[in-house]
Amino acid sequence: MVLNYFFNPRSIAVIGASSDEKKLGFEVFKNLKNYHGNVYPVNIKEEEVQGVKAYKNVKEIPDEVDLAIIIVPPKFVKQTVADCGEKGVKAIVIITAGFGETGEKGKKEEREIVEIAHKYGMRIIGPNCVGIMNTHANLNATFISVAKKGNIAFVSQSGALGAAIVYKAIKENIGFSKFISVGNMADVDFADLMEYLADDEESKAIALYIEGVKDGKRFMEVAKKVSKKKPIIVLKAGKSESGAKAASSHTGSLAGSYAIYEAAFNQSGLLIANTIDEMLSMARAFTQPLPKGNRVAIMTNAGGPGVLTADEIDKYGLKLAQLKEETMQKLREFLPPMAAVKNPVDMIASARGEDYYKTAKLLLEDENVDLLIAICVVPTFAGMTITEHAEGVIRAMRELNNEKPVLALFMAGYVSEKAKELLEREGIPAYERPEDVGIAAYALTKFKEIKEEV
Amino acid sequence: MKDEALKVINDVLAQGRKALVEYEAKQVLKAYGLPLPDEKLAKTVDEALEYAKEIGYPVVLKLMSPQILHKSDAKVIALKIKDEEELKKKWEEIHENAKKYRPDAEILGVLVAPMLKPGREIIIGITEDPQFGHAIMFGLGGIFVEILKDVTFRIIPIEEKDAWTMVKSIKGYPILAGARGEPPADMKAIVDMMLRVSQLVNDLEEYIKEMDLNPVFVYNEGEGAVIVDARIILK
Repeated sequence: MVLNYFFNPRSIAVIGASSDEKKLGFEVFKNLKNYHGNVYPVNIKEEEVQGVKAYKNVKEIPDEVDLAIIIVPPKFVKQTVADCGEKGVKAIVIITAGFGETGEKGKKEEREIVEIAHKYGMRIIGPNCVGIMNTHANLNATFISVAKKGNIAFVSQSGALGAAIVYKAIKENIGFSKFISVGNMADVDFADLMEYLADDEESKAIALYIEGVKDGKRFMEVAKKVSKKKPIIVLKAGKSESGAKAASSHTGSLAGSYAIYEAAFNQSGLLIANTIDEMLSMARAFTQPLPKGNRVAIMTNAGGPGVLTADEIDKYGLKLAQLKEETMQKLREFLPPMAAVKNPVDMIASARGEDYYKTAKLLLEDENVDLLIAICVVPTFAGMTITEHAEGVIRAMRELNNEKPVLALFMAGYVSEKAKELLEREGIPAYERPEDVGIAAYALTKFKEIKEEV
Repeated sequence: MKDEALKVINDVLAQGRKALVEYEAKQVLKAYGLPLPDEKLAKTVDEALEYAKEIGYPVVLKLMSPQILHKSDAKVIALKIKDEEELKKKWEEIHENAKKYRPDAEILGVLVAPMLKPGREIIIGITEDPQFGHAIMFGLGGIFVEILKDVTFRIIPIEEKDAWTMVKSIKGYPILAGARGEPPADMKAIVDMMLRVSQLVNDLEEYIKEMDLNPVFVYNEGEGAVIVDARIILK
């Protein structure tokens, strides 16, 4: 597939690479230096870029070039694309801005550039974008810092917002497999990327930040297919845009553009996020297996978070599992008398790692439970370590390995950092807020439904 | 189906019009088997009297004019007409009102319709989106659509499961399902209407811009539904 040249190129040309720190071409080339394939700087004026021999033109590079990153001024872009075509480049990322986003003239120019590219069988991402990343191949063809390696493929129509989310995700320990800033989508669009990412083994979920799609019918057609294979989470900007367009019918005046997008997303099996946090919370849940049903067990060492989480679960139509009598009996045997053995199981504040282990195991073994949410307000007293509770959950999950999903809500700010890291390393998404874990549980069950729907 | 509907549409287009009057819109809907009242277009008062007799009093008169699309604003609807005498009187009245409202109003005829038994009111509509094409809307009528905007959309064409999801996804669904001891509404009839509208628009997508079936009366389970008023706007 041609798109693979974007993410796993054998060699890359950075056209407009620079030694001048003030230029984007500096950052892009610097970021690509770690790439395992050959990376060639192209600069019309310089002999050398950041200590590496530079070429005046992509055509002079004495090697095949799979991917070209273009960061030259807008007026040189068209010629540069033509040069890439002659060189036999397969894929191009145009970071340079100043095309379709500026008006009709820019749009026309953009179309001409795409025509040239297609003539040579090349595909283009951009223009007017931040670039692309493949964290699993150490590829950072952007001018921003690299994302944390992970399993979410994140496609953003806004470059700056994309960068903001990449940085936010680093802080929250959320990893991306790919980051694609699609810019003006002159050529490669959401549909192409969904199609490609559907078969990308490193991406367990696809997250899209959308401002507008270009070909709605194709978007839906591809989304319908891909959403059966892989969860697609979508965050759409522009909800408030009113339907105040000139409409002679009642229906026309009620149909705001978001209402139509929402309809298209629902029909295509996408998971709709209303905020950035919802998008990330849903997307990161998919390191876990899918639940068989919608019955959730909650275990906690504090009443409040348990109830708040139960409220969230209810909001999304999930059910609190009715635990088997036998399970409750066994919980009573080792939990203190003040503990609640009915779901949500409140082990109370004295619960130690061993209690977490035993409780998690019993709940996961209960056939009335489809999904487990392990909650912990990590204690800093009674001689407990800050990781023993997480370790208890992990041990139970490893021992049973019964393909039931486990989500964690470890809500103690910096105190829970270490525990969350341990959980994440095991592929258990560890959340900070009840609403985040709630929507994550919803995403897992909803995707299971979408997948099975005929 | 398509040919009959197209004939109506082409006639309207040939007259240089984009908006179908209720009678024309209903002819298009009829071609696709949508449930309509047993009503007829009378050109003269004598015809109206004859149709009213067939239908049975009380009847409704609705004046059809391409220049008058908001019939209640122009007061060209007369309800609950109980006998011949009243019909003759109302016939004159709505014609005068039409002239007052739009002196240039061209009158295509008067729709003679039965007084319908009230049902739960719904709206089914069509709009066209530049990215996704035609979308179908469903909601409860009256204040639910006007004030609460409790409506849901899907892109055309829809499948039966989409139609059911739409019906069940509005907040006012309990009203259809049967709240406060009321029997459930004929939801199968709603789903059937939506699928027919979906097919109609899918077949005629290059002609139709917008459509409102508003209101539609839905009766209790097994008793069907009927489209009271309809409007279609062409591209």
